[in-house]
Amino acid sequence: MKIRTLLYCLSIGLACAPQPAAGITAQELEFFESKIRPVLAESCYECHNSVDKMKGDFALDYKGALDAAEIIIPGDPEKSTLIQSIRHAEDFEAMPDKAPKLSNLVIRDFEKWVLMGAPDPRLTKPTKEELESQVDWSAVRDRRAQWWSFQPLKKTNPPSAEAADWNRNAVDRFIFAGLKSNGLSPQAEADPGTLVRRLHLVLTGLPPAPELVDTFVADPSETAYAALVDSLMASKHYGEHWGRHWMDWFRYAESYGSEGDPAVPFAQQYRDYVIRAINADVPYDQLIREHLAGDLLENPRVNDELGLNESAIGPAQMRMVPHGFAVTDAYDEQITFTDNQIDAVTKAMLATTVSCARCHNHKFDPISQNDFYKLYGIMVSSRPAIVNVDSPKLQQLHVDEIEKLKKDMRRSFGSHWLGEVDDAMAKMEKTDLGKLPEGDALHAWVRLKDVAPDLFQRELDEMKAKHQAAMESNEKTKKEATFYSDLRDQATFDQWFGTGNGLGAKVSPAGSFALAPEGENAFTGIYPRGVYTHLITDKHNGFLNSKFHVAEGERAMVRAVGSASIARFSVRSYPLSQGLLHPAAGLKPNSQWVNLNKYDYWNNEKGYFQINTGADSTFNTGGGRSWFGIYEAYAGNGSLRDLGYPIASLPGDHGSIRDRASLLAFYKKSLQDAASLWMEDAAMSDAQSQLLDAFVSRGFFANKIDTLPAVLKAQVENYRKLEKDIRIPARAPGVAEGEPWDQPLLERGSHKEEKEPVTRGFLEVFGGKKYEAPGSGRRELAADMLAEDNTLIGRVIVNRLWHHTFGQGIVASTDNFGRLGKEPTHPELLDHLASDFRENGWSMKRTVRQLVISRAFRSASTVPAANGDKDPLNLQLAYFTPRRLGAEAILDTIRFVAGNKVPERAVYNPVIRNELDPFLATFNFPIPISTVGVRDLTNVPAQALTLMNGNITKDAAIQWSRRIAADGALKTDPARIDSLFMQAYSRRATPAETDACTAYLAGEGADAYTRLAHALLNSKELIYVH
Amino acid sequence: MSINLHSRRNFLKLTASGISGSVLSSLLNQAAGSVIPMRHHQAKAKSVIFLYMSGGVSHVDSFDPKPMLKKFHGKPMPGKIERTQFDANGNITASPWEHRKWGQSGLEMTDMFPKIAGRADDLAIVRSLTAKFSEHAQGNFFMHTGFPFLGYPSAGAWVNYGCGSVNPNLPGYVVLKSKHATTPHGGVSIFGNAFLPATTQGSIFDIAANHAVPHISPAMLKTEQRRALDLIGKLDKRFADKVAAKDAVMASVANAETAFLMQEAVPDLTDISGESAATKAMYGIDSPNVHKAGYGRQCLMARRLVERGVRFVELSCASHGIGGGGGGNPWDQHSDLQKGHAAMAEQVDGPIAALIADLKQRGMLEETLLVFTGEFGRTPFSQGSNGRDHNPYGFTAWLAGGGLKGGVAHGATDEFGYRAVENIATVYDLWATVLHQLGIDHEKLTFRWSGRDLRLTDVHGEVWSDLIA
Repeated sequence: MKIRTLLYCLSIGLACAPQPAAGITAQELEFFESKIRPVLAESCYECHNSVDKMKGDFALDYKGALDAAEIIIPGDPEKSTLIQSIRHAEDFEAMPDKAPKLSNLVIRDFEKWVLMGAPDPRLTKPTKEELESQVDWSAVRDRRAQWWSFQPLKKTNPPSAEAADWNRNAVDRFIFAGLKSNGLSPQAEADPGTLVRRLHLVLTGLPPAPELVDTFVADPSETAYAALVDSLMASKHYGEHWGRHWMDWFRYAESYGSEGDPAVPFAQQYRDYVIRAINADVPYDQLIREHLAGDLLENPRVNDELGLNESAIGPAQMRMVPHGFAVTDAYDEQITFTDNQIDAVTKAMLATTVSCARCHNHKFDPISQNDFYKLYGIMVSSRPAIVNVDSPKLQQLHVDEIEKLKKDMRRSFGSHWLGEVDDAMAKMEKTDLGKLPEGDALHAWVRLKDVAPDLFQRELDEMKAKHQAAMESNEKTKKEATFYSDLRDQATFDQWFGTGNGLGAKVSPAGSFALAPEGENAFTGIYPRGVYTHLITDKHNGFLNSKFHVAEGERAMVRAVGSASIARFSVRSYPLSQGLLHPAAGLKPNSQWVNLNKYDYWNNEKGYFQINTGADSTFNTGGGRSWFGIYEAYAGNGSLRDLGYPIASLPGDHGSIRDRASLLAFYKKSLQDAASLWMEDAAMSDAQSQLLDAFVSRGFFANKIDTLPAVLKAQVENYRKLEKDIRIPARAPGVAEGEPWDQPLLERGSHKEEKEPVTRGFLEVFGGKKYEAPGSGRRELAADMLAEDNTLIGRVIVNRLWHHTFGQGIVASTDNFGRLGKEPTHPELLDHLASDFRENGWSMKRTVRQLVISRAFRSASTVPAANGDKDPLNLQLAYFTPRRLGAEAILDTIRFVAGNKVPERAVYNPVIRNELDPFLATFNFPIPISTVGVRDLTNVPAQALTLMNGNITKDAAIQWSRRIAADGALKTDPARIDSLFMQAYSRRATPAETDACTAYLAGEGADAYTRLAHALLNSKELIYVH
Repeated sequence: MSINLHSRRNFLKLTASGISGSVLSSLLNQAAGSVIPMRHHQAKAKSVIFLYMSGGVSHVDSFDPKPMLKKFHGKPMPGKIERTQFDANGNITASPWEHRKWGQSGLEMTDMFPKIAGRADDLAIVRSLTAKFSEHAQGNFFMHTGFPFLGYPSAGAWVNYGCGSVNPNLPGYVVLKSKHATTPHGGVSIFGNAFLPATTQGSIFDIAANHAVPHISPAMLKTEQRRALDLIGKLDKRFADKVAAKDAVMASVANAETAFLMQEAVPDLTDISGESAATKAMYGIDSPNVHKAGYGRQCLMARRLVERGVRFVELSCASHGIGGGGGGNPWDQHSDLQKGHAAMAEQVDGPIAALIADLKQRGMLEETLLVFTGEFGRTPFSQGSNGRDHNPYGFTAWLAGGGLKGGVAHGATDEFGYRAVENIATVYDLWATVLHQLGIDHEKLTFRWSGRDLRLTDVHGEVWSDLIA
């Protein structure tokens, strides 16, 4: 705004020169400091200061500048441009710009101040620092926290209503009081046919079958109404409809968007979970707990029928983020998707835009930039994962039996093998083993067996020396590593983060073994000390990752084994592997150092090592059997070789080996020792375990099932029988606890400007508790979300339920309860519902039932004549506001009407970000990127074209008209027309409508009824609830 | 102005959320599906034609020639190299195209696009454009919406939100597509309206298909449809009288009538039998090269759309499938750049030059702003043996018409064409300039959503005033 235009309105004022600065009283000073300066500092200085920004060529940050601006006439508020501007008076530029109007209280303070003569103690021009220090955040925050939604809930007794039908419950009493105080009359109840249709559409998103309409119309009693409500709320279609509302709040999607639009693996598990939870009326507090920390609950909610740990599915909402493809700036990507997590959680649960505080303190609400980074830390401490959501019982199915059986098998197989030692040695001698790698336990035999006696010792020494040198080289490389972790060491393994029923808490000792679930051999392998997922079955899963590590050096490697499993270095928690930059290495059953490519590319970026069974990859939906074992992880400039377990690493008298015979004797003794130790389940060395494995895997010790004695065979069969009962786990997207991480605040939101780390915790406005206990903080976050002093959580959800019942929330801005949102039309009612909700077990069904059972819900959908246009937006609910159906309800309604039965419902259509269902998108299906509590209801030609010319209505019209034609009971056109109307609108045709339709039919040919059906499918009444 | 802006914003919010207040009805009835225009200053341009080169044109081989590449051919790239997407960085590679000065203005360009270069004196070239993403989908979103992922309105939607539509029977933002042209990576949301009114969203006209717009072909004869609409209208009228949603229902009835008319407007648009043989030949629509013929038809269609008042027309390239360039990213020659770019240039060069000439001869170029760009440029060093990787750190866009100067250049990249170094330009600047020519102050074109006043230019954007005539 140009000061000149302001002055134009103020010609009289120009005559009055401002008063010279004079001493001000203590009282005036106090008034200025408490009422005026904070507002000027918070709302004006940003644009009008004498340091770096002087919009309109004036500043307000000290008396001299204020005087020069000539926007105040001391003693005369009415002539002061400043006052007119903050009042938003006509012909004055409304200030502050791009912000909500200052509260009336503040405006009155300013008027008072001007009346006093605008006493101003700010005599000198401030420096930059002084300017900044005037905006005291805690004062700003506390003042903003005066906004209604941050105030404690107030319990008000519902006023009694003089009209008996409005006096039956609290909802009606409050609504009635609102109508009365606004001089409005309530509308009469809607007719029964309208009510039954309204109830069906609001509760299930489906219209009623004509038979149901007839039944209710015949007996529209209070009892019948209540019974109808209860039966609809008990139907599974209730959850399909209200679950979809929930999915809008958490931006449910099945793909990540961007190039290639990769799937969110197992996303549908979350959809089905939500629908089940809504149907089962799982308490809201439980669902919130599950959405934040469902994987961490001590007593999870178990679904025995499906064998699911329902609670563990909740955190899937954190993975409904969009992801970029093959990102080159991984930190920026992390900020983007973490921001999205914070955005969805705080908007959906708190109707608060915490995301707005990423670059600076919130512009309008009591949310600091620190608040944003507190939540950021919680999110980043929770790493993208795929979660095994089988019930604890299923996860442990037969584990004890199999462990016991394996113990027995050690004894039985061990003693059988000990009896076979000579035979096994003979087999080794006879067999052509080909060329073996140096690390193989039998390599020495292959290498030395045919060496001339005089060369034997030299060869042996050479082998030993080479092995020794290679070991030393490896040790040196590890010492110079930028990252090295020996997972065979229990204390080191304890530093890693693992989930999955295949991963125990303990490192498995040498000699651990896995049995084959199928095929001709009994054993999959006998292993050295390490961490394995498949010792019970390779259906079990494992998801293991390291602490954060800043990439440095040429390569990263893991020494691991596996089948259909992967290892990777995840940069900034980026979970995808498309493109070249974020590779994942497949693991093979033979132990080796596996290179994690592109590590050098990511130097200086933070990441972590991750290894997981196949279906637990965060970037694909592979299934089936998979396992891994891991020993070491390394990064640096060197390269490591897997040295395996040559005889040099075996215990025993190596000096005794002089020739072929003594070599054989050494092998035999070692083999006997290994088999005995294994049989006794006693400690053995890695090399001993691998010697044993060398004999078992080659069948020198009995391994083929058909060669086993009956007892052993029975054991194998028993294992296979038990193993068969175990299922491939159900999985869901989710997060796994990682290294607890306090995120540095990012100056202006830029990842190139990291400041001090911000301790994880909750929002300042609710006390700002810090989370310092071990773990990500998600459990604490859930507790604080649900704490009594959180003034938002209950109000937000009951308002959402209200919105989807009545079409408009008590707070119209369902996703924003902040300063830019709307204030409640019925604050007492909102608080009543929210308190009642908390006090009565957080039952959403109970609240929805209260709403639909109310008299207010049952009003007819026309404006009472007496009201005129007094409340054009029907904020007081004098009548039921008709509204267009949501996209899914439109599609379901068209299909239901066609067949008079529930079709495959639209809620189950895929939600692919880059290819949203065109029909649903046309009718405002929300873009799944952020919380949507209020869907758009637009009116565009594409909708008309879709219904006029598209296949969905075309097919429905054919099906519907055939059904009518086939109905022998319908003998006349009027009867058939009535039937169509009952089906579409839950009412009969009026005489005028019958005439219009009859006339239309007469003008059409053979498919006249298809045409008529098509017309009705294009009518507005069909897609409105009224 | 701010008062108008506020009430206008509220109006749009209400219509978007479908509140059936009677206050809105008359407006909705008048203009079912249109938005009210807003201007902050005198507009020079009325429409925009967006020549989107999906996949990324190599600027160092076309509009930003660099002699140093020849000199240092085969040598390692000096200085810091940013992370590239394919991480197969080779040495500096000379352009296989020769360059020279073109036109009166003497703008330096190669002969990759000889016909466009022949219009040098109509072009305003920006050689210092930068983007933030090395990946196609994010780059596409960023170039179209100013944000790297879905959920934000496309420039075409913003333009329609700001300028309003002139022709109620055609969408204000049309994306043209011919055979072998598919949606760029990221999907149709890059043309989306996001939180803006749905009327502003891009409608894809597939000019190769029988019906250019989904469901535009009537399911029945016109007379039959008329009878059906009359019956529906009667039923709807009765319903509107019965319930307190009269305005919304009647607006929706009006909408059906608009749709009915659109069924005729679109075939009329695509029927080019009235165009002269010379015109058709100029655009190359009968070229034996089907890609060129398709692009030529798109260019002709763009002119016809602009003639009919459509605000924003976007054209799509078709893929020749060379060197990594697929349907969604036809210019993406990670290998075989010479062959691939030559084929792509052949596809668009003649048709675009014809479009400029045709607009000019019809006196339309002054009020039609052409924008030519990809989501990024390509590296001066090679990828593999004969390709170039993505380069968002400095690349070229050009504009023409719409009240801009011709034969001028803005900004420069370094001597290798790797980074913008002079007058560094952003995607926000591009749209700020486009909006400016349309009479809109990009800082004032805002929409409150999710607690913030959002803009096409986010919190950035400087108009390239040196390019304005």
